[in-house]
Amino acid sequence: MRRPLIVLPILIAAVVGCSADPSPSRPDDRGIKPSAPFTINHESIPAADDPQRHAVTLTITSAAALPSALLAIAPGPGVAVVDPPPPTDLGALEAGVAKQVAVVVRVGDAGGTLTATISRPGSSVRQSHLVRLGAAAAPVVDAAPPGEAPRPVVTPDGERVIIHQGTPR
Amino acid sequence: MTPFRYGVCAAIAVALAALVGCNDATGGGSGGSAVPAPYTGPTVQVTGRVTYTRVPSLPLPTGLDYGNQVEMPIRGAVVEIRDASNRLVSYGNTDASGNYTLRAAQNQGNTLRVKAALGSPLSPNTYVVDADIADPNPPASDPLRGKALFVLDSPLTVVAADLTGQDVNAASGISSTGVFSASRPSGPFAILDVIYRAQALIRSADPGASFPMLLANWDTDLDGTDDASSFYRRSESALYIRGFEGVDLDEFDTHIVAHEWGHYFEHHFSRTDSLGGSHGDGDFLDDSIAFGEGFATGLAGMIMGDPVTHVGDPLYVENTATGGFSFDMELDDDTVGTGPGGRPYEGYWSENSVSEILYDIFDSAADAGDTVDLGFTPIYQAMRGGEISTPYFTSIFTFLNALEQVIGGRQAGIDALAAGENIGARDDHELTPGGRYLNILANGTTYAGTIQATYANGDAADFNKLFARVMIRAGLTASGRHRITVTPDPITAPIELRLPNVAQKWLPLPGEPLIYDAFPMGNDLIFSVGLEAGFTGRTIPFTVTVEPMASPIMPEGPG
Repeated sequence: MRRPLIVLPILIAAVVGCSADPSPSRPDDRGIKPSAPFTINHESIPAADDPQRHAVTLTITSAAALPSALLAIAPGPGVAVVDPPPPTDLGALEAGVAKQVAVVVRVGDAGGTLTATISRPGSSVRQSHLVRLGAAAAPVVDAAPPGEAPRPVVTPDGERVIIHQGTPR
Repeated sequence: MTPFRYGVCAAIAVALAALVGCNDATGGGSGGSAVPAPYTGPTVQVTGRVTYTRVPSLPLPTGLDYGNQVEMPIRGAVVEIRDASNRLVSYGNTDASGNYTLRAAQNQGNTLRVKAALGSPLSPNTYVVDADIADPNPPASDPLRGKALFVLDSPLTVVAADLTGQDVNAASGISSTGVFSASRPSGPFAILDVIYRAQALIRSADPGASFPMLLANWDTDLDGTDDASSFYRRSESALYIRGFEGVDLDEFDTHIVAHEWGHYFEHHFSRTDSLGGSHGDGDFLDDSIAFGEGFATGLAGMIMGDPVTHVGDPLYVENTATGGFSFDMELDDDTVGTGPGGRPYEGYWSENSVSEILYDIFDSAADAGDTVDLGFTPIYQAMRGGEISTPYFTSIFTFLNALEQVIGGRQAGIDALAAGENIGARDDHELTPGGRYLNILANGTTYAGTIQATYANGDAADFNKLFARVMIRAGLTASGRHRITVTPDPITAPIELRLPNVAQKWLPLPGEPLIYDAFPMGNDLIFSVGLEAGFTGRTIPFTVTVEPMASPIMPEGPG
């Protein structure tokens, strides 16, 4: 690509005579994707006398200090909320300081899911966290894939490729 | 699409194939064997369409919708046919619908190969490669730097006559319930398609644009290297896109791929002074990273839209296996409450404010407060013009001024968009009272400045936050060499000096003031003094003096 000719007030650094260390490069020359605004974790404990009754504790940590945040709990298939958390307004959040919310649910034999969604007043930001419970706790996406992924091969004309097979249509 | 048949181009193709590939015994496999001569026998025409399967994204909390996967055309990709002896018969590119027309060797088996590559078939500008497996000693001429290119192969029927309907799909390798197989052929082509759209957007503003080499690394192995985020790395001109099954499939998060491509655009087509580091919603960021990240997100909304109608896709979505997050650039974000120092969340320090302004400048939708509909071309011209040549650190201020140069002055609609984000009276460096720069004279007078800790989170990314560096404009009173002397308090405090449009930074020698000599041109000497990257946020008072020096420094000679 041809860059346009740029006339800049170029600053020509003369290192000689400077009491400064030119760092060899920036420690991080990456432009990275936006971080999630919250870190959400959960712990689920079945009741000893009623294995279908689960106490779910959500731990929410905001990356930035925020004046307020709202929490919504949505049960998915196989889950009924028994004891919802009374306040959905988490109030002010300090950066890096966790808040915990407890919810009690009943989980069917086949297991189920619960989704916690955090939003902020005056903002379009939404963050969701999926909680898998009971028999659904082990997500199918974590299953070890069968077979082995294709490995690189070098073609006779020297190209290094990873070959996937096409599916005829 | 015009197919190329080996014949006239054979010699060029062989020569370039040697460059494109890595014909080196260290490459393993069949290294050391001679490059096969191209096929020159009788051929038949082969036509068909190639597609990839995309897992679509629904609004959260649904996220990736494995049950409703869709086939999308593989557009602009390099395709070729090889005969039974692996000799190249013909090559070309798919068209905007994924169609191809090639020649195959008559009366023998052939293989259709679709490469995850864009651009000229013999010299692509974009490759999607595996992030983790590389030849440690690639030849210097290898544009893939030892990485392996993803390709999709499909055998063709042995025929004596022309062959039609040779349609091939790159499957997702993921079931409707989200179960993964070992092979996930569509991932590289999902990444490629976003880059195809990005290039199309650029060409809508600049039909002659050419694209410097880009390696888009698809990272499917959580091996602890570069796994924490998808990103663009300038020193490699490379994207790294996360594709971790059961964790994060960014290859299907279109706005993330497009956002990272936006950093490639800044690097090669424009300029950025971004400090890098982590960032996100609600952060009070340094001006340059706020602009760079907000620009990349705004551009993603444009890339995923239509450059003709100026209709974009403002919904940025990050899907993960356990949920994800989203935000909408058409909705006014962060309007409630105030952050550190009592400042509102919206401002030049907010990447969300920047992306909302950029997107509203582009899009035709007349939503609340947005009467602007400029499309992409003026934005492109601003990024190619004034945003490169500004002597100041890049920011929303430099961009808006560059845009005004393109459109012939200030526009009330753009002023309203900026004002809606608490960005008021402006110039190239926000010279207004209380503005962003410490204005001093380069006459030997000593001035005081303070690096501030907007955050003191014990976070190594505190250095890229608002006021963690002081931008300084030293008005020149003389020409020639000038000496900058910065003395932090305490003298051992971690500070660094940066210049606009220079990747380098300078640190003081241990226990000494930071002294830097420069030969400024123009009326001002622009630099910044900030918290050294990697150190946690803190307040650092310092003094700064800029003084003209009597004589230029001559390079040291031998002896």
